[in-house]
Amino acid sequence: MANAMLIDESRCMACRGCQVACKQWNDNPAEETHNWGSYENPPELSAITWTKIKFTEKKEGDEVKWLFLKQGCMHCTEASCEAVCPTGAISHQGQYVLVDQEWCIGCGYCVAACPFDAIHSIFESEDGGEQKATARKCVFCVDRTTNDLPPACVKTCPANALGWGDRDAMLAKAKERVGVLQASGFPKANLYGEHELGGLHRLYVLVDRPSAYGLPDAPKHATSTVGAQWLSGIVTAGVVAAVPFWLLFKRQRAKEASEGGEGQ
Amino acid sequence: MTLTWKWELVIYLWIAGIAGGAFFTAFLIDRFTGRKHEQLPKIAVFTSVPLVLLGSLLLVFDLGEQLRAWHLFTRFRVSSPMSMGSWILLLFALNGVVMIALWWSKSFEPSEAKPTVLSRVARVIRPAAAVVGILSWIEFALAVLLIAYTGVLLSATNQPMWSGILLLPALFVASAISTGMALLVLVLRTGLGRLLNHLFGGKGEPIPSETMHTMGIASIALGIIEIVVLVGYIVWLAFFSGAAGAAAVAVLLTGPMSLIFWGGVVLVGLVIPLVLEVVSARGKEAVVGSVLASASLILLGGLFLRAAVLLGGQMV
Repeated sequence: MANAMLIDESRCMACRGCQVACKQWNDNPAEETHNWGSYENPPELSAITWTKIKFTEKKEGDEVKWLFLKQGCMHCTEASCEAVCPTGAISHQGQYVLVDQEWCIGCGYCVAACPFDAIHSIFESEDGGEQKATARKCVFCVDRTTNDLPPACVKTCPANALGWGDRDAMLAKAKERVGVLQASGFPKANLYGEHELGGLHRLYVLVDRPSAYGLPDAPKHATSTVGAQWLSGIVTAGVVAAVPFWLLFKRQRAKEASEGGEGQ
Repeated sequence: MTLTWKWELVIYLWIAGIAGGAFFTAFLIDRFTGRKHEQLPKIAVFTSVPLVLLGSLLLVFDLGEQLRAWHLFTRFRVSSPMSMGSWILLLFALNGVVMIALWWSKSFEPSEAKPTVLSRVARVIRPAAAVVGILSWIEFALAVLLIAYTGVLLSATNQPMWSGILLLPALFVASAISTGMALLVLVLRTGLGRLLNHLFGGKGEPIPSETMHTMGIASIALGIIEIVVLVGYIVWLAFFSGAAGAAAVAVLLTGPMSLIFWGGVVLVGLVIPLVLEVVSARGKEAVVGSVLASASLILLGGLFLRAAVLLGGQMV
């Protein structure tokens, strides 16, 4: 029986209490930020910022609407980070996708592989420079949730936008909510995460298309075509071996042979 | 925007490609000319093994936890190109070192005076020298995997400029062979090749000028292949990879990577060397200065290509 987090973006008011609660519970320091023209801050997830609200402005007629998205690790059933990890430091533990901090070497491959840009190995150190370390991300507050407590972000959410519990129950709740939204002026309302990448353990109730929020409409597994990629490289090497090398040096050899024949 | 992979990885991808490409080229020339160039694979191994070791050092340097690098060799994970690449690098280097040792033992002339430690070692391993032919086939296979891996490493991700684009491994392979051969040409044209030849008991005889000429023609062919693959890669990215792919193309062609792309990859790495090579190949005797210049420019172009794709890919 897997648990999942339900994120109802139609209720989120972007207070960002979840961001603070996450940092507090997980002992992650604050980041030096500056005004970059948006209330959204810090601008990106990092190795010390595991969840944040992404602000997307959308023009509808003369009105500007805000779309809020709680970003963070989706704990995918088919997790790209787990597949590409060269040391096996990333693994599934039930619904959790966890990084063994004692085994990770900090190569950064999972950072490039994640379809949601949710895992990072770089953060701003206290002196303002960049520091590279092991890969870090949302762990669903595994120390809380294995003790029957909700994740810190869920516990703190004042808008009732976040839920935590059995995935099937969360799915049922999400679908009910999507129905309510569709009936009350949000025809594009949809559920995200039920089937993507074998099923995510973050389920989103969205009022617009996923891509309007900056989510991939059809997230891809990083290694889904890796066999064909190897083949592409090897075939290219074969073509190069055949076309310039074999042809040219065969010609040279034939020329040498004929010249040698004349000389005798 | 944070760059997780920086210049260390750029240089690493570049020299790993050169190392694999150099052995690939040398091995094929030797085999396709009926073993008339046995010194070429030796020279190639002697240059590519140090390159691979240097590249591995850069890789370790780039890790967040450098002292844990050995964790890589506790797992064999087929799904992870980085795991496969680590093993390929290790085997390529180890196999190369064994080949060097065997070649050396074959050519070792024990001095008439008292036997030294080295001569004893040479005598002990000499019987194994018969397998060096098999080892060079293995090294060839590893070289192919090594140069393919530098591209697969990037395409097995979720960054729009790299993700799932089958022509990216093809592009890196073409560039690796091109730069590998350029390095061979440089080594052979400067006295380094003869020096290495002496080291293996050869007499320092130069590579026949017909072979150098054919290598020049092969380099032109490789340059054309690389241009075709590069154009294919850009077209694939621009028209068949959605909005994110188009954004990636913009980064390369008009965005922050445009100078490196047009100036470095296209002009320095492809157009100028091609012109030099075509002019040079028309004459009976190659102009050494022009050959050295085009080989150096091809090598630089390979570096610019890795920089544009690796750094640019993290900016989309």
